Amino acid sequence: MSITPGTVAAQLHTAIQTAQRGDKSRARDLLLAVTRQAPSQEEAWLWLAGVAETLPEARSYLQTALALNPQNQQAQQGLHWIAQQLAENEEPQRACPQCGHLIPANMKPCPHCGYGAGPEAPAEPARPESAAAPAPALDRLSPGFVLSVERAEEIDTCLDRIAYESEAHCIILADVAGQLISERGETLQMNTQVLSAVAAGELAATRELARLVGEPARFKMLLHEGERHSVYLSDVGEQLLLVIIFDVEIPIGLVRVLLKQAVEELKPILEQMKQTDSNRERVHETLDGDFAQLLESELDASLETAA
Amino acid sequence: MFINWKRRELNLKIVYYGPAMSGKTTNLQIIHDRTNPRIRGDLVSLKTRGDRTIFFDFLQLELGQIKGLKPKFNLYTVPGQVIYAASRKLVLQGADGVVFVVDSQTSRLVDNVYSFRAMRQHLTELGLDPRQVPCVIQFNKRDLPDVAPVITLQRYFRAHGNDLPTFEAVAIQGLGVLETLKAAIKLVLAQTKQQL
Repeated sequence: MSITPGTVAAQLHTAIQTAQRGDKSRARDLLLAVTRQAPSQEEAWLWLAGVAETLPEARSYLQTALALNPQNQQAQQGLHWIAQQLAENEEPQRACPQCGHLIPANMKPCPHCGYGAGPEAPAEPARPESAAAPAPALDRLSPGFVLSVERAEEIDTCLDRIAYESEAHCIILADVAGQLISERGETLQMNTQVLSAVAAGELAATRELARLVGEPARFKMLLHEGERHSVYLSDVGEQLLLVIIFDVEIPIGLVRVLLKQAVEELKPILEQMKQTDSNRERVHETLDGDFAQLLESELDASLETAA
Repeated sequence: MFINWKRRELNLKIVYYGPAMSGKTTNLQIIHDRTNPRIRGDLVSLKTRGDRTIFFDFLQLELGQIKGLKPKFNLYTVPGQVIYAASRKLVLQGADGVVFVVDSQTSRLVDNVYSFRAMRQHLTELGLDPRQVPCVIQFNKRDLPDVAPVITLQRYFRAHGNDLPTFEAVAIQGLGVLETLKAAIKLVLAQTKQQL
């Protein structure tokens, strides 16, 4: 059977009548059939929300209606109402800043460790990952994170020394977005680009792990022990990370001490990096004019568009 | 964006985001297969045994020097499955641009909407303004029988950003993949210049 606007309208009409009669289950089936045939039928999604069995289900239908028409006031009002209902039904929880146990958001002090028994414990947002949570300063360097030749050489000197003293196979400095900044030591056999990306992911996951277990500080170091090689990961300030790959026979304590030293030495270099603006002009000069055009033709030449 | 004058590199990070099974990894596989081996690195996938992305896929494209700088594009996908929300946010860190891969099937309309909203929320939490992050939308799986009309999809995504570029694609056949990537790169570069 071909689907015409007429059939859809007739089906919708029947479905609405069924809903108005109070036969929600039948109305739901009819309305779902309408949305399958005409997914952009806003009214059907609104009615579906009206006959939905649960609030989250109704919410998803209203969100679809709103997706189709962001100005749809009924959908907006409905979503607002559902949000209120759900908020009332759920008792919000938060992690105790001291012991990490989940406790009701308004409960003070924490029944597990007594945190917050004093006059005013700092109020925590009830929702995890809410906008009120401090945004990690991961993008402070971006845009325009520019490393001059001089700074890069200072970094390399520092890394060379640590590599020498720790007898490490290699040392890699990358940013939290996974972009390689410097590699020293024997890296020829290694895909350091991918290593940077994976290490950044791993350290980010570790930070998230710290947050989940209620650890107020970040986990700053991460050690992997293998049969031949071990890998130490550490963050350097907020934006960068250092990876040292060394022989298992090297005492871990030594590597750890040297890694800490390296982190301390690198921090001021990176601070200076943020302050130099002279590089920006150079970047402007390079990226201005025909850079985009040249890039485009290079892309065209390298990406075959034919199947 | 990260410029390293010593290595003479311009690094840009582009993240492929979208709901589960929308074709993000397929996009990267096609890019890997259809680009000149001279410019591409290995495609690295952190997968579960069931072949689903668990953390991210990663592919680097490195062009030849242009005015003394080697542009490097670091392409990532996020894991689409609902349970990996935290990983998705982590992968978005430091992104210079996003390709949002839409599953065009009508049955997935709501998942796309959720995913797009979550992405914007993550960007906000990372301290970015979602409206300022260059974003290209790819309507994938256009070959399947039960797909939402492009106009419906456009209506939604364009309501969220001024003229977000949209592309139709059948990623599994390679259609629309490279066009999407090129558009994303152009957009990222234009934005980078503006922000400097």
